[in-house]
Amino acid sequence: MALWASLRDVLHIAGFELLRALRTWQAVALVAVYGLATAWSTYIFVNVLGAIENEVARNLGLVPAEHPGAMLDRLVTSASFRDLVEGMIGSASILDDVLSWPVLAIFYLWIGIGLLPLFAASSSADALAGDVYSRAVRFQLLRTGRAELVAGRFVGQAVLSILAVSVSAVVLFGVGTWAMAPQEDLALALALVSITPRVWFFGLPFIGMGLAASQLTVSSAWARVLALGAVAGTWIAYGVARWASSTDRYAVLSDVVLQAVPQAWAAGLWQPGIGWLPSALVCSCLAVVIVLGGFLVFSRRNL
Amino acid sequence: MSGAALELHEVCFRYSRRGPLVLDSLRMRVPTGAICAFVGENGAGKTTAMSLVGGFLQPREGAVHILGEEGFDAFRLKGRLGVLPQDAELPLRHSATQFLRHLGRLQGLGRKAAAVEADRVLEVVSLADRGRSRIASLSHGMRRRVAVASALVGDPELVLLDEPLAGLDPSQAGGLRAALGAAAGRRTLIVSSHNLHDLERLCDWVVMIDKGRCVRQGALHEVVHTTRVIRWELASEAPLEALRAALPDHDFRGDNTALEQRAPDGVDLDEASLEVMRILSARGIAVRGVRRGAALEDTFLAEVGSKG
Repeated sequence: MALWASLRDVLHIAGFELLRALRTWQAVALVAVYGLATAWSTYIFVNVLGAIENEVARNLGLVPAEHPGAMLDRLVTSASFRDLVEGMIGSASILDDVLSWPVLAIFYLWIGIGLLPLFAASSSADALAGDVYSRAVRFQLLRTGRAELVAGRFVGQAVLSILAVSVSAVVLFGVGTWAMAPQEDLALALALVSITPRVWFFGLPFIGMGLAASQLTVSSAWARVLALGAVAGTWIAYGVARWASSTDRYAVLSDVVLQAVPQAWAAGLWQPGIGWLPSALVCSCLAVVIVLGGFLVFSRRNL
Repeated sequence: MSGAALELHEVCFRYSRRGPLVLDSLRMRVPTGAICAFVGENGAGKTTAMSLVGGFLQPREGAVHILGEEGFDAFRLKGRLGVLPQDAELPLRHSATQFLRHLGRLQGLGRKAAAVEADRVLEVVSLADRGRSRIASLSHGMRRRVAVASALVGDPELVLLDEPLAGLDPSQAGGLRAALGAAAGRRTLIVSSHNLHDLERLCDWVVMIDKGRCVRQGALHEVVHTTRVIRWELASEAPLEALRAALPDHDFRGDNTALEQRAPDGVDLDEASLEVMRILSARGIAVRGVRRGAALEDTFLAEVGSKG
């Protein structure tokens, strides 16, 4: 009964949070900026693809294609493209599986892993701090627990992020089909649909970072700085840990760090079939742990 | 505990570890069904005390008993406690109805019941016609009334209103006072305000605090001595000697045309007042005003002045 009451409150708060995001244009801004960033980066990627295709064509003594994507069959077997994709997924073992996806679907997951953390952390950093500052949070806190409030805000932000990721998939599909030579649209669409959950799961720990920062301060701006700093910090920690893992001296420490940063689990999201689900589960758990870290402070704070 | 809707025992609070004590061993009790005036100067600790009851702040020492529950627990008190927090910003982009329905749902009401309740409380604060308007489009006074309505959602047993009449024009304040007074006996209401004249007309219990401590509490008629004091406003100087001779048990104090009559316990004050009027009439002194008891404001100033 108590669990049901808690769950009910979480859903009510999530719904209200979502409505607030829509009413304050936060959702529209997030989706628009994320969509624009996706469109712009897709356009650049398509042009890079065209440049690689032209290089392949020159090597084979063929006439360069007018639009990028006209010779993808040959492209996926070229060494330069395989190197590019291997660099994107960070692993050689599943390269052939990934190369069986539509090229734009590969880019979709890659750009999602790169961009979504920034947008997710930035958006969720505003989920609590401003309301604590304006004391608006008191209206809800009188009627539900602090844990339910935080969980509700997290769920609201997570739903908002599904919206942003889905719109970015549509944008990418549109830009890709417009800028590239005709592709198999249905295959691309299906691939994007199947990859969208992977992108979303990867964003969860970063929503957690934003929400954790939002629980620590009453300033939305400061919460955003903390959240984006945390995102940058995880990338740096990931890079350093990967380098250190190859040394004897810091191998153990780097292994520990690699378990704790979401980026280390991104490689698992490229796994074919349902092989990506364990990494998605770890990302979800990391999100919960990060939010709980903020909650340790929030649960005792005077509001 | 029985009979008390709210009790604070030796509650201490400071906002920072080394900051001053905002509540200093505060002890107060509000009986069930009372309409309580919570009175104090700026910075006396009224808002802090209300925030502690609402669970927004956590006491460093002491105990808070709310409707028989020890300490604030949002789930055990769900729907039983309403608080109007001071200066809390409403969600401006939502309509008043959406906001109040949401609070109703959080209090455990079903979808339909929450909608009915939102409409009811908007009616109570005379905003039924503006429920669909975005809160951002409402005037300051209207927003204040929406905030008051939020504390009344679900008809809670105990309602704490921190400055509910602040910023309202006289007709709005009168309407809200009447609406709050109409619930007398059905629920316990604790109202803080600097307008003691307003509170006096609404309340039957009073708690006065100063520098974080309770300096006086009790039934309003006891605190302002309505059963023992009569204040007269006369057209000319009061005949003190004649009055003291006629009613030797009474204490008469005069200041030019103002006369204060204090009766001993157990005396029929109605009978005594008739005797005073006979003496005044015999001397041709017109009575311009009579008031039973001291004004709450005067009592408060006397208390705070004497403690300070």
